[in-house]
Amino acid sequence: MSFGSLDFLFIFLPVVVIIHALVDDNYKNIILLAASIVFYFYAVDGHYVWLLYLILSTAFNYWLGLIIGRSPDDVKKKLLWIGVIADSLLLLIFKYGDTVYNFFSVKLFANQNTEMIELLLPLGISYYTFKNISYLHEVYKGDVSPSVSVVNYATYLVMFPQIVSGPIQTYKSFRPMLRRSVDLSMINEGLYELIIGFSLKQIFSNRLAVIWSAITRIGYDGLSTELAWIGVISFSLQLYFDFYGYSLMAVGIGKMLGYDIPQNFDHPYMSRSISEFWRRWHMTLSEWFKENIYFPLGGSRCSTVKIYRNLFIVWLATGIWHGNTLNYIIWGMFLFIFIALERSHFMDFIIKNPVISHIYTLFIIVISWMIFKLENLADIPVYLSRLFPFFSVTPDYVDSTDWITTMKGMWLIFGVAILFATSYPRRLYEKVKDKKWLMVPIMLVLFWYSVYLAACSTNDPFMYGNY
Amino acid sequence: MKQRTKFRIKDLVKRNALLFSLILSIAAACIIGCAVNPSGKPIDTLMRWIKGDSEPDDSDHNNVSESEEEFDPSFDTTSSSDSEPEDTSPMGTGHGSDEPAETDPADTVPAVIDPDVDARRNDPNYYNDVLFIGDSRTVGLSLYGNISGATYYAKTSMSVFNCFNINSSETGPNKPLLDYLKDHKFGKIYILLGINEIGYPINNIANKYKALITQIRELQSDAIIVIQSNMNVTKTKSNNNPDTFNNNRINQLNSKLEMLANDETIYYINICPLFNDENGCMIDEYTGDGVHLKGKYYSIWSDYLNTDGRR
Repeated sequence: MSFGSLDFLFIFLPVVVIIHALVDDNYKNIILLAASIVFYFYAVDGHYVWLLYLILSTAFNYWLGLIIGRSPDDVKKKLLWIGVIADSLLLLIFKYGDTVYNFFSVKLFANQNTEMIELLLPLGISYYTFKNISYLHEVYKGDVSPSVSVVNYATYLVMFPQIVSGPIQTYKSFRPMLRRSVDLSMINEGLYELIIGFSLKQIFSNRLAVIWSAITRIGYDGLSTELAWIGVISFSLQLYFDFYGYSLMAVGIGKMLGYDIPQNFDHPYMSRSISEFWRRWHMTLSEWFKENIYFPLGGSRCSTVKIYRNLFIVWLATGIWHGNTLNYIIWGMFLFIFIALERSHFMDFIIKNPVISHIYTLFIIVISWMIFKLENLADIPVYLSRLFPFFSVTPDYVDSTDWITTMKGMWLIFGVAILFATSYPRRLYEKVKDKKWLMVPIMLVLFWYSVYLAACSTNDPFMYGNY
Repeated sequence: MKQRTKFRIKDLVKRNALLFSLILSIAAACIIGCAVNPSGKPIDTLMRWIKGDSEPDDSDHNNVSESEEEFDPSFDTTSSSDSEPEDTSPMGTGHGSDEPAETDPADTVPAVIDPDVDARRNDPNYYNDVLFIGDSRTVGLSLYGNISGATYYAKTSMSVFNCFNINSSETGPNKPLLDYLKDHKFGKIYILLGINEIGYPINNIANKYKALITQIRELQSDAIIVIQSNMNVTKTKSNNNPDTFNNNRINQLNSKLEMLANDETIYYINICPLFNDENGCMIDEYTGDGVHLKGKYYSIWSDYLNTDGRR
């Protein structure tokens, strides 16, 4: 089950919202917790042991939070470190355990006959691990008192609007909403964001995914320069709408359950610098790194060398968090270079120009997503050679019209996606959203068209048999 | 009081217009869906029904039987009982077994048996009267292969179950396949289909393949037909898709298709060894998605077709 599945939209969500709204306020968290466990059970697609990890992680951090809250100051820090290391180890084992094992058994011991292992990442582990660490840190600092109720803590950690891909909400912002009421207007309001998010995902992200699939099929060295550029731009849009769409759905579902779930995106492609982009993209993640790594290291209140050291560590950690192949670390370092240059005011002459700053930001971000996407390091210079063909010879097997073939029937969706990546549609929406005679029909059309697209992609069991 | 209640309800509905209209539309959709198919999930049914009406050329496997049919590879030379594309009735006593033949995954490149092979290999006009029918792999061949003169009727997502419902190809011909075959004459027709439907019962696919060939032979009685084997997929793709894109299933299907050949008017060429490793899986380097050849490796296929692939 996922947010985009029809079973979720037409069965799970309505049932949960109705029951949650009808029960007494004192029992709402139990309902939400139970629903979240059911959701996770179905979402793990047979990997039921992941539910065990989630339960153990929840119990451990709940218990440790209580201990930290009751401990003297000299012990608190040690306990916090125990929690951070334990939580991080769990995440790192699943992210890198197979890589390390394969390296040692095959490469180091030259054991060519050993079967390589592959560890699947438990659903949501990157997010609930960060929520756990953030919670322990807040308890340690005294920003919140530890949760006495295991139900409340478990609800915070595993609530289904956030468990899969965030947002990474802090316990401090979540706690005031533990006692809440829900009325029809909240459900109605939440529906707007839910439908917009669902539509962005189905109409833009899933459709644009066809372009990158075609590019993978052709092979990066066989791309024309035009298609190489269309590919990275299209992937940048696909990734944005996939994540932004999901995040909006989370916000909408949160509203329907009486929660204020934080926004994760603020039209990042309108930014004028890489630093600004990362204040507007996946905002809860940036906030997490700031509060839990950057500030504890000293933040900006230390020597210049240490500031850059702190930034380096944050971006290294960002790369490691996003994936378990080297390209993610290179991606993190690539972004660090530009953020460091911007911080040093070396890029001021670009950033202060209203036009060039946008071009610069979009250019660097699009290149960064290319590095992010290509998990095989050897593919990066190959793709770059197609983006910038003047540094190499174009292979003779490149079909110079591949971009025409690939983009046939896609130009409209591509163009509209670019428009919707700006802030203008949202600004227009904010102006007209109170005009119900206009917005209700539009929302209904968007909803049913998105349902149709979702159903079309799942009805045929071999949708990936779109070969 | 009643009026006040009415007013309150009206105000409630107005303030929550989206919620109430969505509920009404869902109810309506469920009613329509149940009317279309009382036993299915109503929303799924409705969407499928809409899709079926508006996009007849899209991949539509809704009528494919899930149960395995009998497969008889023989063609009745006197009757034309397979003139309707949907007919899959078994014919005659058949020959060959319905059991999948053993396929050695490490097949060598097939030897050419025809004594006129040299003449055909050197004929620069060989492909002038060739039609390639196929799915996205054939689309790729039309773009990246080095075959001059051939015609391609290929479309992504084409299968033996929908090939007659497609309105237009991606590679030039812009009419349904049967109409195109009625209007043009070909000397050789190469077919590569099977990957989009590989999850369905193998015999059912083979029966549909046979029906396709029968239909083509009726419209192109002088043409020879060359069935190309489905390429294998990479080891990873095969391991991750036990019920669909799995090399066991692909090899089973290829075995059935080989049984359709008579080496006179219908040939079967096995192109798998061109791309496989020693384990009978596509070489990883040759593909970006585990299924399709990368652009630059289509020349291996077209070079073979330009030489030993000629019949």
